[in-house]
Amino acid sequence: MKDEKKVLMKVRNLTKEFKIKASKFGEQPQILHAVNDVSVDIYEGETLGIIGESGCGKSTFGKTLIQLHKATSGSVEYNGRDIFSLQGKELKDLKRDIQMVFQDPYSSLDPRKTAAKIIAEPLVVHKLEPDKKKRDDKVLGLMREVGLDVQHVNRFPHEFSGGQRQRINVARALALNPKLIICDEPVSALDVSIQAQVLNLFNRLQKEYNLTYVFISHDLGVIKHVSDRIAIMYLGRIVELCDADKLYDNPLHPYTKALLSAIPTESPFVKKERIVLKGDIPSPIGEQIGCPLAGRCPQCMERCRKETPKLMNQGEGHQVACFLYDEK
Amino acid sequence: MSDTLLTVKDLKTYFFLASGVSKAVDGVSFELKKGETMGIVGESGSGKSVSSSSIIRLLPPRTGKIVGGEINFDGKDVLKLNKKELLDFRGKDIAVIFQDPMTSLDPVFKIGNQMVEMICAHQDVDKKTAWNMAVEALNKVGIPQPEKRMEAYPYELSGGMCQRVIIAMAVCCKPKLVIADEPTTALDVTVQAQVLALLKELQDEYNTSILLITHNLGVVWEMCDTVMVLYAGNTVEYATTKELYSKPLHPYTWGLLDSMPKLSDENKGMLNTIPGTPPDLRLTGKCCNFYNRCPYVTEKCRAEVPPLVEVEPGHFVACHRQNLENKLVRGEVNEENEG
Repeated sequence: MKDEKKVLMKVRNLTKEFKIKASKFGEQPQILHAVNDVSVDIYEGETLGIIGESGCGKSTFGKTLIQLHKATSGSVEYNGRDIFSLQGKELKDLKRDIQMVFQDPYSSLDPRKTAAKIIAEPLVVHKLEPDKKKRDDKVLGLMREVGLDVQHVNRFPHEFSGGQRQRINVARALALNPKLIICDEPVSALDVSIQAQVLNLFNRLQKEYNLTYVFISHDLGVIKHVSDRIAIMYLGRIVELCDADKLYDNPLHPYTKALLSAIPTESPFVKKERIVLKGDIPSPIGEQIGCPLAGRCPQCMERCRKETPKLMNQGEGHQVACFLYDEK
Repeated sequence: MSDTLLTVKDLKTYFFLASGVSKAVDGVSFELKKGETMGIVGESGSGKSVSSSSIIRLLPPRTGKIVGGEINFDGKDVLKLNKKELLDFRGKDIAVIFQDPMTSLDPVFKIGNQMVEMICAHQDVDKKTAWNMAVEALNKVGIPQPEKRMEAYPYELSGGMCQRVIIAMAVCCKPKLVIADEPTTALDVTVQAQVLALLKELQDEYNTSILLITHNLGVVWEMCDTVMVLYAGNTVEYATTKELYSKPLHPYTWGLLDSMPKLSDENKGMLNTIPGTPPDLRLTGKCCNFYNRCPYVTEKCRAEVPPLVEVEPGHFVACHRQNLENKLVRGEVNEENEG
């Protein structure tokens, strides 16, 4: 199955910059580099995990993919079509295929709408089911699908718990039979026991509908559990990309190594060796020169401060952006 | 027994709300020794934070009330302290590190002023000495250029830095106990590792006890000597960390351990979950609170509240099916339910 994977979405040199207004009169506006030159292929039916610390641009990346943010440069091809050039009806059709589940189940649902209305809204917007009776049936079907009690159909979001709200979110995303769902930290606001329930739901739906997920999270355990491939982001760039199992066995990039060593142990009997990165993440504002990790990296070389490493292939789909693995 | 710092016995904290009495903490008991770290784990709403606020008696006036139990701190009965003694007790004997570092500092005052205010309130020193003490404390927690940072406002610092400032404030008065209420939840993993290492270092230096409240079991394995599992306001299990890891006894603890995605887990399939959701805290207290989610439930569980029993030395569990004569084995089929 792995040999003939179909590329569903092709991301090339995607860059998103935000302008920050000058604080003083006459000053030049500064540029915040949120996503920087990201290229990645998303295959049909896989789960691509994206992991990174807060502020590294994971959420911006997800939002740029579905044009909630307009990309500064680069291209995203979906099924061979460049989505940034689409307009009007074509764009609306495309958005049917790509849906998003947001991080905060509390604020991503309209508090004034009932669960039924929320789930039916995409159907109304895309005029898929004009018949009200059929639409209601479909909503009930979706609620059953995600494990919600159909008796709660006329409840408002505040009457649901966090896990149930996230199920409503998932049902809403599923309403249009999408092919790709972008999940932006869908479980980080939930408790462990509820988190496991929602993760299982994602897992089951993927098998049933052959869904493709882009799964954004900062929890390394969760990412490992759900992903087929994992991309590590740091300061707007992907620094390492490889199969999920291989990443944990054989991390190459110094940042990945540090990140993995920072996970708390799984047993009180094992003491872990820590690779400590000094200091905090540098600011993404202003001009970015050199490797983003240069200031914190224990193996920093002269070259790292001047050039920015590109993602280089290390065999078997393992890509890493670090000069340590550059043969030259 | 003199090395016991804090004893909490059958603590009950209720919230009297318009919609009823919410039993946020309904029978929590534990003991903390000097220089040790105890972890409190549980889901949100299980009473972790309320138990810790009860220890320093920092509950919302009018609605929140400690209705029963004992809290004994270093020979003092905390529940009998008057207002003045309480002010002295908080901050000096017990320091608290809250969850969100950005909001627990006052945004309109400089870091330095906030620290000096705190030191002057608890120690008999003038402002100049206090300032120097603050600089020294910032230096100790690993903040670069502490003199400069004293002049900074909280918004100028990152989350990890703010948390360091709060830890610095906490250690200034050399408290006997530090209550860390989810100190790393708002932080990234790499910064979390730094902050935890710092807490440990300070503990070794001052021989403070730490009460670490968290929902991350990984953090517990790393930091704690003993651990208490809370569910719906009750202590359901209490043991040393190693004992709890290798021989957990309560069905809820099993569910909690199983539902964590593990890195070493090769199995990509389904996670084991605990079905259902935690109960409404207004309706608890008449039976075992876990009965509706427990696969091993019996008639007795629906009728009686299970007492906290010491089944093995130092290992307490509150479950009708776990007692000295009769032990439930993990994964056993529940015969009573089958029939």
